[in-house]
Amino acid sequence: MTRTDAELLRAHLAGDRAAFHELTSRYQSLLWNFAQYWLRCREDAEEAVQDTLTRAHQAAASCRADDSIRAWLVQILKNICIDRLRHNRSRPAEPVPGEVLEQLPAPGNPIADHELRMDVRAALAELPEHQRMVLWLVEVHGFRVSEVAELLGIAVGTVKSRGTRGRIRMNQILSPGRPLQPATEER
Amino acid sequence: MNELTPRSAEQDTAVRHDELSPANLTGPELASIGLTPDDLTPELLAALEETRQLLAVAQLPEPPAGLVHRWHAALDELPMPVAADPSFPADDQRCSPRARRPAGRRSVRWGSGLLAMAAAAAVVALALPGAAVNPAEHAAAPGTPAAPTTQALTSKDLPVGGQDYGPLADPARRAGCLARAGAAELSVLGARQVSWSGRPAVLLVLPTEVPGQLRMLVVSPDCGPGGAEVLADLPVGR
Repeated sequence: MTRTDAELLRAHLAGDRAAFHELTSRYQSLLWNFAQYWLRCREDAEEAVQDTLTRAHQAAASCRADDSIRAWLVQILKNICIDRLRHNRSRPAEPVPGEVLEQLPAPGNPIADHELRMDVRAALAELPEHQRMVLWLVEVHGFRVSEVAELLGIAVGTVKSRGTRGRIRMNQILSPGRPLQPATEER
Repeated sequence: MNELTPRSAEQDTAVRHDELSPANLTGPELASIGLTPDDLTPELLAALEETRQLLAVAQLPEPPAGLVHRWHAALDELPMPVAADPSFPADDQRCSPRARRPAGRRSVRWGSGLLAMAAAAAVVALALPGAAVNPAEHAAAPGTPAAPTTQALTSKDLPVGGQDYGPLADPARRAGCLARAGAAELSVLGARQVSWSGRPAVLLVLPTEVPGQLRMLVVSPDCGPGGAEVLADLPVGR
């Protein structure tokens, strides 16, 4: 039976070392992609995720009933990324444009799903990064608009406009013959 | 379009309110993306809903397996945390990143950190005349922050922004050390290898929740998940 995030965290606090690994496995992809989005540097992203997992591992007892574990992890990662960016100001970043979107999906998917995911990824890859991130968080990972606004440090209205604009753009990419209102430039 | 695959259990919002639908945007929000209410035809809304469903089957690229292995191996080196209350978190998927921050306190921002640098430099320079310190009088028990003490530090010893971690260069070991020293959740603002009372040590600068104040933690080089010898734990600044 699949344990919930909260059950895994409780098990971790009770000394079940495997529980935190299981919890980590659920969100490592999100953290990995988020770190690359923030830091633009693969090496820094690797260390940021490591630091995030370490900090969460040690601070698990701080959990309270007012946020999701997923958002808690991303918030820790965001704080670490901000600290790292401050430290790295004098060091030029190594951009990784679209790199994370070019990887193949996990093996074992049906061919149709595989092709569909490739199409969706290709369409996502064509979006401006700020639109892509909003769609990732809201549509792929199910974050609420208000959570995304807090995580990205932007207004709720901006999240909505970026997300809607991104969705319109994706639809145009995936269905080029469809006469949709073209999206204007980002405000 | 192709047949869709349902969302996984962790993508738990398949039937939630569509917050990004243009039908749910205000007039100004619509205008910001070049739409008017008249543009919201059934065809447009249906097309965007179709895109939303496509996104629901998208999967984020996984981190490389070797990298995941390294992350997990580092976690295995950490001491298991102690639960303040084993019933936490009380609700499913509930946890707060700000749980340990006292109400009314603000997080330390970079601006205040810069102020703290100046304040810390002044305080340290004035309070520490450079007298020799007997480690036996000031060393704390392993895992216990030491009482504030004095040492010949000046402003140039403040390694804010420095990353000279020395033996604590490994993030997992450093995190374990910080956890043992009672600083598990803190980001290191800077680090420098120093000589403390004739002993090699690592000086770590940490934030505090008091605006204008930094925390200088001096630990032994063997500090790690297995234990921490805190040689000094100095609040500096106001």
